[in-house]
Amino acid sequence: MNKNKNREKLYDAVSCISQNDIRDFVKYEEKAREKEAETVVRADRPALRIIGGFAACALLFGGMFVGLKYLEARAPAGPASVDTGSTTDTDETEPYTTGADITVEEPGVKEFALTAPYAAPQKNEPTEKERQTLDKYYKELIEKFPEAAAIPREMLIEKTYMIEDELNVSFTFCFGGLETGCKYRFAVRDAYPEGKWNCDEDGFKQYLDSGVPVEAMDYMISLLKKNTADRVTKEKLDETAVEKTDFYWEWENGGLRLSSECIAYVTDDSYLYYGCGDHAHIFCSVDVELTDGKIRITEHKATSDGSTDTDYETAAPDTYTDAETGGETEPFVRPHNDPVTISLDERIRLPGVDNWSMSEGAFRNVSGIPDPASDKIRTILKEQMRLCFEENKLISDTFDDEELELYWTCSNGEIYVSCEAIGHVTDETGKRFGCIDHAHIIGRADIEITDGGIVLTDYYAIAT
Amino acid sequence: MTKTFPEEKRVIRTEADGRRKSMDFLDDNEIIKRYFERDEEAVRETERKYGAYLKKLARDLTDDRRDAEECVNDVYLGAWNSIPPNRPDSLKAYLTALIRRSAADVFRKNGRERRIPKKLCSALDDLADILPGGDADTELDSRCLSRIISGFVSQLPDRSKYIFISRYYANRKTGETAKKLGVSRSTVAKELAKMKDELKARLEKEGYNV
Repeated sequence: MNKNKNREKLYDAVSCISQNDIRDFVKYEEKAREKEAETVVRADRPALRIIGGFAACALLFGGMFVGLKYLEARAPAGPASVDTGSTTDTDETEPYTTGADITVEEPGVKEFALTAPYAAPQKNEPTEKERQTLDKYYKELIEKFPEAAAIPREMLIEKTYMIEDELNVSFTFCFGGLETGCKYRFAVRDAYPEGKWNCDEDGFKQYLDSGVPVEAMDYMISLLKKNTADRVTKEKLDETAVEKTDFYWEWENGGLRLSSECIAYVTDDSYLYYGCGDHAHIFCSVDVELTDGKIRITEHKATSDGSTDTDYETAAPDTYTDAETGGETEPFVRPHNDPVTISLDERIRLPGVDNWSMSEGAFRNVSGIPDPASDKIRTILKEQMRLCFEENKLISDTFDDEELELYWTCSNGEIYVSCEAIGHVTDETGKRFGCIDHAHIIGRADIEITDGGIVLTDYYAIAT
Repeated sequence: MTKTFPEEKRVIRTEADGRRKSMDFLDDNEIIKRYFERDEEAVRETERKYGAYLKKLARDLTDDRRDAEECVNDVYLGAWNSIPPNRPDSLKAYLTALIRRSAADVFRKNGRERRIPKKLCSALDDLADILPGGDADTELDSRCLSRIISGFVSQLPDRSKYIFISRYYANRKTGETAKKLGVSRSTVAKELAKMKDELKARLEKEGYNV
């Protein structure tokens, strides 16, 4: 039989599967993903199962206790008993109160009148010399850009500084107390010793004579912090992070949005995976419409970059370049002891390995792997990661000298090993990464235990 | 009286940053509408929403990273050129079909002899069990085979269809499919084996020697 001919025939035949069936495939996958997202407990943490068990017992006994108390309360009262008539009424939507005494009401849409007083930025007190410079250039600003006269001066962040004898002055318009992209800059350079004015603009140009009422700004900040806090609590992250939330304006499809970002570190109880490993990015926003003398605020719930599984983008090549010989070679295969099936809940210590996790199903005893095998795996992954560094134009001072820690995971009977390094963004890095100035380079190899030995398949690295 | 905000909370993020932090993508209908309006945002939104998915699929279907990139770019061009007049019910399914065709075209375009990527061989060799063995001169009519396989897949229940297409169309490993379904790899392997037997029986019924 002509193997290649059959492959081609089958390839063409399978390619003719109908659009309707592909659509069914896509829909089924989306449903599976949604279902997976609903069950977010990491099955490979025995501690969670134990805690879950205790929690279940606590609920059962707690329920029995409450039941008994209820029956006791309903028992016929003696002559000295008094019916207090109290009820426990849990308000699930307890309002969140900020230091500014603004109470967040029901989520959804809220409107405020677009009237003063407007929220203003906090400004540092300039020195006398700085004040003189700023006043001088403010006058010039108004002459040069008449529209800037509409901006109340308290709504401008004013800065002046010298860089190697070159004067810089800037006036930035603030809306709701937060900086916008409307900025007027004056600079003196060798190329233009008399100085030059530049003006940056964005959508806030239409609001130079306006602002966000204090009450509305307080409401939005409170709402964003509340939703962020809810998310942080839900995902069991470090709650102290909420106070360090950043707020900023965004223009999205021509509409204005007040957004926030909070970086919250994982705790021992966290149960999701995050792209940055040890911390989550919590995002939240509100849509802001200014129209007809009103400011209309529409709430969105907070989101995070947490996921129930680690999603690796790239697929591996079939061969790799051997770091020692420089030639192309097949995946690593090494002789190994006969594998032994280990039952659930039995812990296996992998020699030379720093982290491991339990599995829902049985997995094989890999305790026969001696350290040289781990070194080989480390070499292979490091090569993949090096290629990833080069491809993404990321740099690291320590990568070459680092001995990467290997993390072994076993899930649904599959074993894989991964390791991580940090790559710093350069001017030539074309992509944006969640952590802005650095990316996480993850190297990963899937492991198959065969009678012939350990086989590495799908080894690759990605930058996230 | 004005209310001031602490300086440390003031962060400039302007439209010029172009940084998207929220993961709310446009609805498929909105994206298709932009194709019809010949708005180039349609391609950008397609890339945002399905770029990662298409890249993964392209890499699973081709041998070479450059071929995979070319595949993905061809898909965006293909979508731009074919919508309109096509108005897909499911944009993701439409793009999946485009990339499959694009993968085959890439080999021909690059002037290479038509060959199946090494990556796909495992899945196709696995499926080849259903074909008649023996004499290399015995050939199945390719169109008939296409008809039989696509007919077979259409009548499968959703879950079986998903498993079949994952393995033989999208070239996913059984482990990956098992993970998505939350079952063991052997469960998926058993279902695939059962479907192959049924497909083989269908070929016999259609009169082919197996």
